[in-house]
Amino acid sequence: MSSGRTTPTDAGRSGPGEAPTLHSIQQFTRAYEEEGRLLGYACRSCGFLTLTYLLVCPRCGTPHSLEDRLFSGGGRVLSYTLQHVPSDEFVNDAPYAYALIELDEGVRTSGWLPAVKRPEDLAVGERVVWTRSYRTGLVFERPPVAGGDGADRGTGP
Amino acid sequence: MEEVWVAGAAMNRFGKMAVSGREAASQVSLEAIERSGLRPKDIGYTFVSNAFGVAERQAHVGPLVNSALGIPEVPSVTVESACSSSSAALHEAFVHVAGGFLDAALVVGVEKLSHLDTLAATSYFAMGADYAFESRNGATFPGLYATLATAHMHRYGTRAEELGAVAVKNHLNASHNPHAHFQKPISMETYLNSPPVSWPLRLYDCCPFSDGAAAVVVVNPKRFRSDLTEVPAAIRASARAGSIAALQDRNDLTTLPASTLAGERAFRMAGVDRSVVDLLEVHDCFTVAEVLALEDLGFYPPGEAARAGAEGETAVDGKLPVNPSGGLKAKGHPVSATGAAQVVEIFEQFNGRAAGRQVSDPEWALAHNVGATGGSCSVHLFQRV
Repeated sequence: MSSGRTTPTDAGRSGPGEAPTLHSIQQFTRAYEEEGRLLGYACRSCGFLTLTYLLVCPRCGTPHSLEDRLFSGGGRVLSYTLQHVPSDEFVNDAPYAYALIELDEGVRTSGWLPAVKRPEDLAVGERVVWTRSYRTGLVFERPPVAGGDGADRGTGP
Repeated sequence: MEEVWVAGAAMNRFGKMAVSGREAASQVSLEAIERSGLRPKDIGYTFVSNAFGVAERQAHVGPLVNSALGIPEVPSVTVESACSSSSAALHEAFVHVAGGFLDAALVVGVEKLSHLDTLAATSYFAMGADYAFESRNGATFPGLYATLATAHMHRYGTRAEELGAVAVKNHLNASHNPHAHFQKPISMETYLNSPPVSWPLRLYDCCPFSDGAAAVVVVNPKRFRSDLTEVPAAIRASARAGSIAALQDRNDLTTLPASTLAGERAFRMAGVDRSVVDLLEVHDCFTVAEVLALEDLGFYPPGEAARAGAEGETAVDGKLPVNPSGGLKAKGHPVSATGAAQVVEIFEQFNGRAAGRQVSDPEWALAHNVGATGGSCSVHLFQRV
C-alpha cells in the first residue's frame, strides 16, 4: 500500500485517510480489461469527476485531491457520430457510433457502439450501458431489454 | 515592448507537392525573405513547424532550411502545436522580437502527407487528439468535430444546409486563390450528395489532406523599416490559450473554450473592439469549426453564426468576410503550414493582391488557428501599416 507520496506508477489503491493514489493509463485500461471495472477519479476538494488521466484537479487546482472512484457504466448519450472512415485500429468495424456519454454519476466519458450502423439507431439523450468489455476502447451498447429506448430529446449537451 | 511587423509572406500551391518538405520550406522561406526586402543573413532565428515530419522520415528541419538559405549559423527550433503549429511558431517569433531579443525572425510551416493513404493519414491525425481516451475509444479527427456538430445541431437547430453554406462559400473563395488546393466552386447539391465521413459530417464538410508550405518574416520596424518593400502588417496582438484536452472532460460541446480565451486576450492586448475587424481567417478544418470560431470569438451569439453565414454575411462582399482564402476547407490544410498560410492571405489582402477574392480596403484582420479540438488555439490581430 502506498505511503503519502504517490507516483503515477503506484499499483496500490489508497484507503480512507490516505493520500490518493495516482494511476498510470495502463492501470485504467487494466481495470477495464481484466476487472471489468470503470475506474476513474473524484476530487476530494470540489467533487470533479473524471475518467481520463489527470494528476491535479482541473476545476479547483488542488494537488493530491484525486481519489479512486468506480463508476456504474450506465448513462446517456450527450452527442455522437457515425464513423464511416475509421482509423487503422477500427478498420474492420466501420460504420460504428462513437459517442460522448454522461454516466449516471455525472462523469463524462466516450466510447464506441459497434452495433449502431445508422444515425437513426441512436439519439442524443438515449440510454446506453458499458458492456464491461474493452476491445480497443470502451464498448457501449443500447440496453438490450424492452421498456422504451429512454431517449430524451429535450436534454442535450 | 517593441513593435512587431510582418514584412514578408509567401506560400506554395497547396495540394500535392512533388518536392520534399525541406525543399518546399526552404523555397517559400527564401521567397518570403526576398519579398520583405531583407536578405537571409538578416534573419536572427528560424521557427519551424513540421508536426508530421516523421512521416517523411525527417525531423530537425530547421538546420536544413537555414543551411539551404545560406545561414547555417542561425539558430532554429521546431514548434509543434498540432494544427496550430505555425501560429504557435509565429507567437514565439513575436515574443522574441517584441521582447527585443531579435530584430528579424523567419517562421515557416510545412507538411507533406500525400504519400500516405487515407487510412494512414487518418491514423496520424487521430494521434493529435487524446489517443488513450478518445482515439482508442473510436474517435477520429472528423469524428470528434462531428460530435461537436451533433451537439450544435441538437442545441441550436443548426441545419446541414447551413454547414453546407460554409463549404460552398469557401470553395467559391478558393476558386479565386491560385494557391488553393481546390480550384472549383461546388454546389449545395454536390455538398448534400457527398458521402458521409463522420455523420453528420460529409466529405465536403471536411478539409482535405494537403501538402504545402508557408513562411512569414517578422521584423522590428526600428531596425528594418527603411528596407521594407511590401505593405507591412503590424501584429497588434498575439495571444494563445488552451482547453482541457479531451472533449469528454468539457462541460459544453458547442464551444472551444481556448478560442474564446485566446480571442478575449487578443482584443484586450490590441485594445480594440471586434467591430474594427475587416476580415477573418478562421480555423475551418470542418465546416462546423468555422461556425464555432465565429461564435467563440464573439462575432456572433451562440447558435447564430451558421444562419448568418447561410444568409451571405460572411462572403467576401458580405459585412464580415470570413476565410477569403478559401480557408482550410478549400485552400487546403497542410497541418503545420496552415497558421502561416492564414497570415499569407492577410498579407496579400493588405497588399491588394487578392484578385477575385479581395476584401475592400481592409485595415484590420484576425487570424484564428486551432490545435486539435481546441487543446491549443492562437489568435493574432493585424493592422495594415
